[in-house]
Amino acid sequence: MPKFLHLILGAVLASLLFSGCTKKSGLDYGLKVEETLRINLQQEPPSLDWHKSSDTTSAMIEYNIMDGLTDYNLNDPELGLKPALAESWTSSNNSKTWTFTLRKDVKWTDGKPFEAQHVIDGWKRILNPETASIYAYFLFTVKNAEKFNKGEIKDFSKVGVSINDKGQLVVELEAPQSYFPSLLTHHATYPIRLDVVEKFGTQWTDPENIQTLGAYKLKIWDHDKAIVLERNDDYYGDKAKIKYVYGYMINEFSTAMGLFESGRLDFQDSIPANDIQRMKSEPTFRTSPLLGTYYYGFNARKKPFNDVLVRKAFVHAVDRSQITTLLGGDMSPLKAWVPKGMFGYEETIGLDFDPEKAKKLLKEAGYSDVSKFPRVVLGFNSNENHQRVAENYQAQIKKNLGISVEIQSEEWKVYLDRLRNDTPDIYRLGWLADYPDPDNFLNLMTKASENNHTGWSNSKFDELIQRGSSVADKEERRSIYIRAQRLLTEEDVPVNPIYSMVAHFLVSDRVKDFPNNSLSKIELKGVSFK
Amino acid sequence: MREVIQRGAPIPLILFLTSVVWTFLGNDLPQTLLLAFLGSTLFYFLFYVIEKNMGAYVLRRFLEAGFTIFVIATMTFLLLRVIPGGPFDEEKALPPAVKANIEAKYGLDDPLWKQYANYMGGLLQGDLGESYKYVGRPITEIIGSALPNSIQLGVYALLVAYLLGLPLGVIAASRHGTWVDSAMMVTAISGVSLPSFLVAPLFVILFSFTLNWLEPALWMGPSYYILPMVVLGIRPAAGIARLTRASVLEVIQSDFIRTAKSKGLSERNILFKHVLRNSLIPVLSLAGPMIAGILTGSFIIELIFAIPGLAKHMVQSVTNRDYPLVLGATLLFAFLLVLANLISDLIIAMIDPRVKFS
Amino acid sequence: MIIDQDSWKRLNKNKVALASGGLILGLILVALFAPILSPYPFDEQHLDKVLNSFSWEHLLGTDNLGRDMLSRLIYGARISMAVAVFTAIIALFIGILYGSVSGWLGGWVDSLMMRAIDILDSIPALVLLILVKVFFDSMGLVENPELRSLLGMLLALSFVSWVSMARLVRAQVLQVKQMAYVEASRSMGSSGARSLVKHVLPNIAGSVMVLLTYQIPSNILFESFLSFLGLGLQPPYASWGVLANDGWRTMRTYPHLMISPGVAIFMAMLSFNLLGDGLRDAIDPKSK
Repeated sequence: MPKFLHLILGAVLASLLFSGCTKKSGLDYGLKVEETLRINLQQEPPSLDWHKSSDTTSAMIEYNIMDGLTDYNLNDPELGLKPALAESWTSSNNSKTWTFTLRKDVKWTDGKPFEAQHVIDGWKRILNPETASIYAYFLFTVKNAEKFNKGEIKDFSKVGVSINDKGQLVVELEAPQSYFPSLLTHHATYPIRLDVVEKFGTQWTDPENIQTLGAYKLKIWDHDKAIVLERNDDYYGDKAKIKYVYGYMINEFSTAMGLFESGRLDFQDSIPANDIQRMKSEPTFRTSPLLGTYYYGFNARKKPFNDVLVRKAFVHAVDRSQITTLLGGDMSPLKAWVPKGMFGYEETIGLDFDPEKAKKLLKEAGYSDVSKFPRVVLGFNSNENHQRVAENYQAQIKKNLGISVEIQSEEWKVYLDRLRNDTPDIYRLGWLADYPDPDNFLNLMTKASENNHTGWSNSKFDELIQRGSSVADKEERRSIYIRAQRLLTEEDVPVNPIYSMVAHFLVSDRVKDFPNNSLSKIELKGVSFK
Repeated sequence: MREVIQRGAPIPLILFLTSVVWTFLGNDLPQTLLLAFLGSTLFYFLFYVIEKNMGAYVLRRFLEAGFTIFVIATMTFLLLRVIPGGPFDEEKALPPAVKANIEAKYGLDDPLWKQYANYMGGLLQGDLGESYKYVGRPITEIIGSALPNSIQLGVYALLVAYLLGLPLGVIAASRHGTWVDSAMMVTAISGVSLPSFLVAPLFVILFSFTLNWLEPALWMGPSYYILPMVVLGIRPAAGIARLTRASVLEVIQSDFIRTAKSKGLSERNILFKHVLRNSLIPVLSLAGPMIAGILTGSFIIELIFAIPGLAKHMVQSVTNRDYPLVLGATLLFAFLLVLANLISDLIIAMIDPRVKFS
Repeated sequence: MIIDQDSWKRLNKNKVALASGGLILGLILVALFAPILSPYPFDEQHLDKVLNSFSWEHLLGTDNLGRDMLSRLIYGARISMAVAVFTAIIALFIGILYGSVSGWLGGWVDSLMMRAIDILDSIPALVLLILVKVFFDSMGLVENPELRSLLGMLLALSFVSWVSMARLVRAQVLQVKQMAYVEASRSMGSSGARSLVKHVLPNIAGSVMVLLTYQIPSNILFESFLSFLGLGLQPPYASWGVLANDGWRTMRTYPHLMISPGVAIFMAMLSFNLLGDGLRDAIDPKSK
């Protein structure tokens, strides 16, 4: 027996030495560092089926391996659109009918040409109730789409999308929607190859089966370990500059940082608040606007926030810049509703920090004796950031109004449940844009919106939102949205917007032309090495 | 015939060790080797069961194990449903029609007893369902790709634990009362007192970032394996060392050994043949709880070293309310624990001639 | 194992165990007198002195919100000790109750109860911890969120640690049950419960004490695991586990954040382990 032990020990030691000698300087899967961009995806993408995925990791990969009919233009400060699979488009019938002229030179990765029918196939799939797709509602503005999804109509040809005799894609909507092309930047509306899906079933997204048409293609998907993308040399547009992209799946930030700082990683985002301060001065640190908002909502169904004066008092009593300074991340305080960095953002709308006014309003509401103020709970999901914001909010309310707000954090799913069933007096929520249009944000506060937990509604507001979505002229839309945001954040004030989100990320020295991250999807094709 | 078979008893052990060394060098485990190992283990297991007339006992233990798993499945199933928050509650709320479609697809709109019956029925056929979060991926596939990594980590850590702990304990015991003994025991007790998430970054900073000998994260070859398995193995190693020492001391000081000594047998002879044999029993009996400890501790390790194993899925799936994955992972863990306990009990039964069964 | 004069004598001879006991006593005192001992309130933020290393003003440095680490560590002692001790006590009570009932009643009740324990033991501790904690949190039994978080943690931790206590007590009860004089006193008419208390408890006191001493470090460990998972205490309250967890994430750049809680956890666990060893050796010298 002991001799055996010696043998084993010997073998282990030998392999140790052996492995030490052969420690690779290259990457796994035979990739070379000089031609590979190494990014950290942080987690395994739950699904690369773009009709079923609903998270940002999957969206990011899908965005780089596929194209939609339209794409958003990062060079436009208001984040307009640019053509992608659709060369051009026109609207008629007061933005109720849209006609898309599609490119003729696009090929899928197996060489088959892209056709308009593939778009229709995709939409049929996502609207099919059996697919049970989360983003089906994206296309509900298309005629009969919602009915089809509910199963009330079984024949898809009744849904308002078709191909005309010129080979163009024609879409009929239920109601005018001037920003309809904006929706087509989202992966839920991407075309699909039905033959591939039917042939391979749930495995159709495996690298050997999947068919895509974007600047990169899926080369390797080693579940929970890594994803490798390879440049698509048959791409119809500007070819990607870097040949390979290696996506790590390292969840623990400090582990990832270790890799980044020792030169093993080129890109890392989602930097925890603690580290932002320290990293800000590094040359590798980048900030970009992120189309997202962070806000508190009031439960206007019951006391004390059923009184608009109280709501206004609370909003006036908090200095948002204190919060953003505390978080140290260059977020912009947000007074209105549409975040900074896109069309519809208005710097001047909303209620300012004015503690005197706040006190006055509170008195007007009948609370001159603050000890009689009812117990108020501020709820949020457990997270270090949310905790810090809440504590600061609590401190400011105490200081400027003399009221003690109780803060309660809960586990995420428990919190979501609570939001719907027993909304806290003040609740925290955020919103990341699905597509670059102000409607995506303003829609949240309509009466029908599932995301409006305030219990407040205003038919005038709903009307404005509807009009804004149907009007085609940009400037007219702008003034409509100004009126809507005024109503929301200055007159009725069911919400307390806090800040516009900002993306922080780290990019290694050898990388250049790294784009902004506005919709949490990074366009990799323009990135290159120095 | 029996003699021949008995001679071949080390075969499963040899195959096991070969597999371990082979995979440690960064290779995939060939199917033939795996099958040979499992096959020979099963063969010898049955052989000894029949030899020692343990058939009834083994059968009873297996049935109990099955019952245990059934109860755990039921408990977990119910507990998950009781906790608020469903798998498809998202920050961006879904329109009710869409939610209804999704729930219909996964059968979440069926009455609870029906969902339970469906799940249990599937379980018996080996179908664990599909994940809610990793859309379309069968649970068996998710677990199937994560489990080997966790098992690898666990086995390596266990080996580290025994390879470090046994010699340490034996040496300490044989040098009982000297400074060697004290030094080793101090080391051991320190090992038990250090949480892994403190030790891990220290090792990573030293061996990876400073010395550049080993990899700081991921799981792709020997230079990746070493740090996690050592960090995970330290605490069990310390525990084994302490227990081995106590056990060896007890045997050394027993009458039996003194008799043998007085007969003039060499110390080395005594040590290895008699002492080890008898003292290993309590140490092996620790294997069950040791494996449990390793399974628990592996989660932190898997997180720190970004190892794509099962523990990460286990915890995240609860947060995501991904019911099938929680159930699948929990049941698998429970199964492994029950199996580990069973095996260690059986090994003890086989080695120790004194043990009887009812 | 009976505690008697000899036990104390043996314990006294064990210098290491005594030293550890002293350290633990010191720890308890620090925990009790935390408000007096700590230089700053544990949640006071000095936003101008964020992430400072050791200095005369802040002996152990400051954290990311400018809070004094020494004060956080002292209050952390209070919380960690409280959690560990209360968990151990809860586990003790449940374990003693369960084990005594099971062992005393014997027969099929005993088998059933032991089977239940085996099953509980097979559920991975982490899953159980999370499920129990989330379940308890969602029940909304307690309004105060910090109290709720604390109670949830105590409950979850006790849940995974009472089993070994129950097993130990049951084994001892079984042993004692067979002792002649218990039989005798029973036949003389004393009720079961009284026999139990009179004969069993003194006998198991020793082993229970030893087990308790070992359980506390593993409770501290489990508590820090929970913090690692984000299910621990909510800020600004911090146990050593929370501090260590915050600290290890920035270990490469701000090592001082982890050194103090790391050393503290290590010393505490070491002391408890050494004391446990000492107690065990003193009470049952054969096991040395």
